[in-house]
Amino acid sequence: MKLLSLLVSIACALTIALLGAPAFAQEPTVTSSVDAHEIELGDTVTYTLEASSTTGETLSDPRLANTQGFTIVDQRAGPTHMISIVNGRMTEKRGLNASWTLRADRLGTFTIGPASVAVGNARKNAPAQRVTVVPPGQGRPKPRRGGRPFDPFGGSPFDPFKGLFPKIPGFDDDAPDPFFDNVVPDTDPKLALDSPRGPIAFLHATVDKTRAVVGEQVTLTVYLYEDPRARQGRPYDVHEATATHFLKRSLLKDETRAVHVGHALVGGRPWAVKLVRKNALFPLKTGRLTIEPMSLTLSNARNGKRESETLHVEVTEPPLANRPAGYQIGDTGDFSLSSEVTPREVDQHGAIGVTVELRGTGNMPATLPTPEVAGVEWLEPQTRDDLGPVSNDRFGGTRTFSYVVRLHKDGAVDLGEIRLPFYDPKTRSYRVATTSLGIVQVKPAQGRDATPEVADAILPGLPGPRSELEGRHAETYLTERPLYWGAVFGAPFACAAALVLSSAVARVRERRASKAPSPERIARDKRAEAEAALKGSDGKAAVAAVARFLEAEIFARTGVNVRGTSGQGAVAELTDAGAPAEAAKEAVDVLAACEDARFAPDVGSGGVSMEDARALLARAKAAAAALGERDRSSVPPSKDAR
Amino acid sequence: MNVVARRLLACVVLSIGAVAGVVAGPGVARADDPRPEDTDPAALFRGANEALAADRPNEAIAKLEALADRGVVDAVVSYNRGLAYAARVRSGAEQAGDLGRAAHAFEEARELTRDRALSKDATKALAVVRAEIARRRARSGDPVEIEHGFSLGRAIVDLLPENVWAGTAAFMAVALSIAIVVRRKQESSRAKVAATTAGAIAGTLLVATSALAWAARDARLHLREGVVVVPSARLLDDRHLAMDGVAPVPEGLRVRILEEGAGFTRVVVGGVEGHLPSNAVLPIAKR
Repeated sequence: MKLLSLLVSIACALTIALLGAPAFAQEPTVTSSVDAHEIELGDTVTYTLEASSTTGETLSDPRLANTQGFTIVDQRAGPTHMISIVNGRMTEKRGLNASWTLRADRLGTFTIGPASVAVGNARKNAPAQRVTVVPPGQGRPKPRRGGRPFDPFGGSPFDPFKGLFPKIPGFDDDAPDPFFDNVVPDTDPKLALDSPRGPIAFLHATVDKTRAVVGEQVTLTVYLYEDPRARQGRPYDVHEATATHFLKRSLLKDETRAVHVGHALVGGRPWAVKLVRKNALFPLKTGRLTIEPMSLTLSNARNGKRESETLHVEVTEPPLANRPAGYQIGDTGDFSLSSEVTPREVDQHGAIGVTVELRGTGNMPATLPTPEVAGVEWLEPQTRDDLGPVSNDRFGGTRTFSYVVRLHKDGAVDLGEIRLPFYDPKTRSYRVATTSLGIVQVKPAQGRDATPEVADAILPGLPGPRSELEGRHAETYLTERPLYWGAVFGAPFACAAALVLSSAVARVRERRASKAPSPERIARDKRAEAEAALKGSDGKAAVAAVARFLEAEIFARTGVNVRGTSGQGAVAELTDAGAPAEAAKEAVDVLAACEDARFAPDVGSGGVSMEDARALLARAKAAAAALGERDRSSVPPSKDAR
Repeated sequence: MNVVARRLLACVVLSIGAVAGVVAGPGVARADDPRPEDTDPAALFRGANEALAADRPNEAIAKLEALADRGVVDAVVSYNRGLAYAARVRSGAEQAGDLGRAAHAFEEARELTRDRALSKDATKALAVVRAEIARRRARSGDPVEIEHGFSLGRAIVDLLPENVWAGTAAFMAVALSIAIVVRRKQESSRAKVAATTAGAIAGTLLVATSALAWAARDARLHLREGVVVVPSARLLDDRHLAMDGVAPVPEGLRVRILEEGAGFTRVVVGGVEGHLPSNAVLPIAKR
């Protein structure tokens, strides 16, 4: 009985102890820290809050109460969860880590915090931290976290890369810092730059070529340059370099690790250089294609955004000359083909396996042109890739196409060959990768005819092909000749114009014909008549012509019509008209002589001799000349002169 | 090394090469320079015809497209290319856009040829291809209108060749000129009336036919047309967003090209102006 009482007492004690255990569970722990208690003006300090609880209470809503003298430039928070089993007992621990990056705006000693975190319905505070802000250049270096002055990809709960860039061997926490030890490392001149693209750290991108053909590999390399003397910080808001019109493949076996590639002189100072990205870019189209910059933001810089360069590549098509039939734009590289066909004997309508291995470097085509052989049906292939970086920063490897091929024709069926034309940018020439598939023995099918179903006729009634080229003919177009348009519109207008012109000419002639001749013209005509008469044999007629000539000349020269006027009267008129008296008298005398000769009785059978007539004409010309020129403005011509 | 030894060595090398060539039959990886039949235009055309006759449309297409790449513009090449695409459709190995490319090739053959028989065959083949497209669209419930047809003015201009319009205009010019002269010179009133009437008719026709000749010339020099070669293309607005209320453009449709830009082509489809992706429209070659 006593033993039973003892056991019951022990059991009760154990039960009370076990049930009461939670009552003695630990309160949530909340701690805080800063990464430096003395910083320079403009520098940043990180206040970190770490809260944890084993009671399963929710930790949330971290707040930083007092930040006087500082500006919050970054804030991060993240939960933690840890399960540990010790001696068969499981402990679950939940927590919350939060950090604030603050930039010092004023000199002096300031209190940061306290920070607080919500624990269930209550809040629990973490201790405040005191930080002294000193003028620039008077501060002590911050204790280095991770041993590196700048570790943008260091392990951190807030690492944007989520630990994708662990610490680099040889550049790690415990490694001696060559700069801090005042040891100038060896620098690579290939990585040297004239000046830094930004303080603390910057990105620098290069391409191995700025001109390429479609499908030709362009290697994009992005380096991260770090100033070893700058204070550490971690980048965030990382954006990859986008290249929309390129097929992008990584040339790094592990892109999650930044590879330290050496040191370089930038603006005369050594910087650490890490390889962040190396990509093979295959242009998909022609034109001036753009590679956008990669970017990240540094947390401890006023303007912390860092971008690599925007790059451009001029992309053209491979040359048309010697381009083989079947070449597809983009099939660029250096390829070879091999194949395996199994089995080599098969029943009719059976299937065989054809494995084609495409090996090489460059832009691997996604499909292969299969040979077209009657009675051979190629099904869609399965593709298996083993691609990645190969030697000399080239992208390549093998792509295996596994086909199932059905054979519907019996006998020895030659499968033909697979031919892949491609452009080799190294030799700047086209080549053709080929592999012969050989012959497969197909045994005739036994039993029922298993010929494939005949589908409905598609595109029935198409005419047959042509075997002779039509050739090009020189095309001439009438409308391309300016003369044509001139003739078309000019001909009717020319006809109309010609008719109008001819009628106008006729009218002018008619008008001129109806108009009285001038005295001078009459005088010339009369002189011609007189001279013509002198060539004849009629003396009287010749003398009459001489008289008419002189009268016309007198009229033309003086405006005086002396016909029918007596001798003295005519002389007076002529002198009044301005003629010299001598000349007037002589002219009147010649006229009188002519009158006398005309009306003189015939002497013998000849009448007036031609000699006399000639003499009279000579006198008439002299007299007319002596009269001088008439002033035409003063004396109008008279119609009587005709 | 004497001559005999050199010859012996050459024989050994050649023998090894020959044996290697025999052994390395099927399945050996290699890459060679292109063969002449892959690059020579005449050989390409012959090879394409042989492939077409042997029902190897892929090979025929590759060779005929290679001819086009070399700048060979010929109605027969276009016509046979259309047949090759149609053959690939018939063979069951159709690829998206084959019917559109066949329609494009036949349209191009009609545009290029001077041979009435070839034009007739191309027209017939085009009708067969468009009928197949219409049949497929009808099955999927899409509108089956494949041809929007030309405007009235364009139809009139296309009634006769450009040079015929030009020649007619020249004839009318001569007739008008004669009428003008006759009307002027003849005294008879009947002749004058006849000349006036003939001149009025000739003048009117002169204006009309010369305008048509000019329009034909303008179309020859500036009108660019293409054929849609994707199964169903959406007409896009200036922001390259699909237009609301505009039905997808059917494959094989002939469209007018206004401008070819980077990645997009501005076209007029049935009176609606918009953009299509450049790879959706193949321009038609002209004489």
